[in-house]
Amino acid sequence: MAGKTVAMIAKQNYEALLMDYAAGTLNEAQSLIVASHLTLSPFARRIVEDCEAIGGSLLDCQCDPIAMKSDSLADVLDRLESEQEEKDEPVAHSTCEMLDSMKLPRPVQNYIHETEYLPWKKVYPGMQSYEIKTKCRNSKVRLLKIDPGTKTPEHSHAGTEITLMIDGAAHDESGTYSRGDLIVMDERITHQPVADEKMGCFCLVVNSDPIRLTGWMGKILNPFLSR
Amino acid sequence: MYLPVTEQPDIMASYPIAMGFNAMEVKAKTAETKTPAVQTVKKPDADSNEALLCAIGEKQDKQAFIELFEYFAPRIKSFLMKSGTAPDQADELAQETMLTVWKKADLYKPQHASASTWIFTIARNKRIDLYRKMSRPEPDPNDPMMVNDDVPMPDDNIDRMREADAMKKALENLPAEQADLIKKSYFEDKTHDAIARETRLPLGTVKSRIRLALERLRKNEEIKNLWPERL
Repeated sequence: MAGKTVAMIAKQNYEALLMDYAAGTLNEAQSLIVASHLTLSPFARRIVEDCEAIGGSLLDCQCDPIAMKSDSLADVLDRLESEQEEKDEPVAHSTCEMLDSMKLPRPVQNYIHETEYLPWKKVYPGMQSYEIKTKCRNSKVRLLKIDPGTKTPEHSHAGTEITLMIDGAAHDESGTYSRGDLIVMDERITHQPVADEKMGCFCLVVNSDPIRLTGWMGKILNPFLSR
Repeated sequence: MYLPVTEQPDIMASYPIAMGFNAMEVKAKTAETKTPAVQTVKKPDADSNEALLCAIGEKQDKQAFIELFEYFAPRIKSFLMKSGTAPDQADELAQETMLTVWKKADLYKPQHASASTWIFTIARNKRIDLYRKMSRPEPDPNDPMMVNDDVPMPDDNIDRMREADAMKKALENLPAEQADLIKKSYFEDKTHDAIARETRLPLGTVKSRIRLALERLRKNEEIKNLWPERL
């Protein structure tokens, strides 16, 4: 596929994803990776703010008021005093040296309970993964560590694949990605990212359906990946 | 798709024109007073929803809360019923939303969002709690990993109320096919992928309409005058 088309699709996907986050329609796994991206990108935070302003305007003028029950206001007023007292205490965040040294944004850190080392699993020569558990059954969240110069298998996506670059760099047909970049792929795109020749690449990946490999390697690996 | 830093617009270059004042003047003033660049924060109009929210945050003003409740609770109820919530449950959830508004009003900053935008985010989160029973991770402002703008946005000078008015008009003028998709996503709690499956429109069509709508809203002349060029 021509680089330009891929870039256009990727941009469409990116903005649609941020709007989904603002509208509140993403699942936990997808929200987790978007929140991590927002931590690293002030630019993305602004798009989300704009999309929230769309939500505000819709609430204000496209939701015709539907009368509340007659006692609703009185009930709420009764509860105000007690609510005032039980203010949420700010949650103290325990810092973890290992996770900090991996430069992981806090939304991801909150999901990892290991403090000494992460039990990485080899998925492919030059590629190791650590799975992060969420409540989503149709989304898989993984950290991927890819050795310098490793060419990942060419693959298409049955659902969406969202990748957040955390460290190092990678490149594919449409560009080079580094820390903070979010790449949103869907079933329309096939790509084959390559980890940077010097730094390798460290990223967070959320797959919302099992991915399918398209090359010859796919024939061998697909049965394992879809497990 | 990310935008490489080099492709991002020069925010500083575009905002003084958009904000209607001269960049040199600002520089001169800051140099004179030798204080850190303090910008005057625009106070919301006395009778606006924004002012009511501030009154709740600053002095637990119950009268202000009642006014805000009477305006927003029936709209929140309506918003929740659009996603299929039963009337009784929508009523309860609207009450919960307003209680959270009371509790968190001291965190509300009128220069960051209009009252309706801030309340929308609370109602949205209540809906997520109800239907998904899973958390919605958010960025943590105290995260040491947080990357901030080199050039801070002149947020304090944006008139959020005028912005909200302009946004309302722009939404009304959106082509029907784009407006439909926006409403499906905000009201019916559906991702764009789900909307594509449901409407049997190709995913590309759905996403390009969303992109066109977003572009139209963000590049709307009036909004543009309030916002620095952002895309």
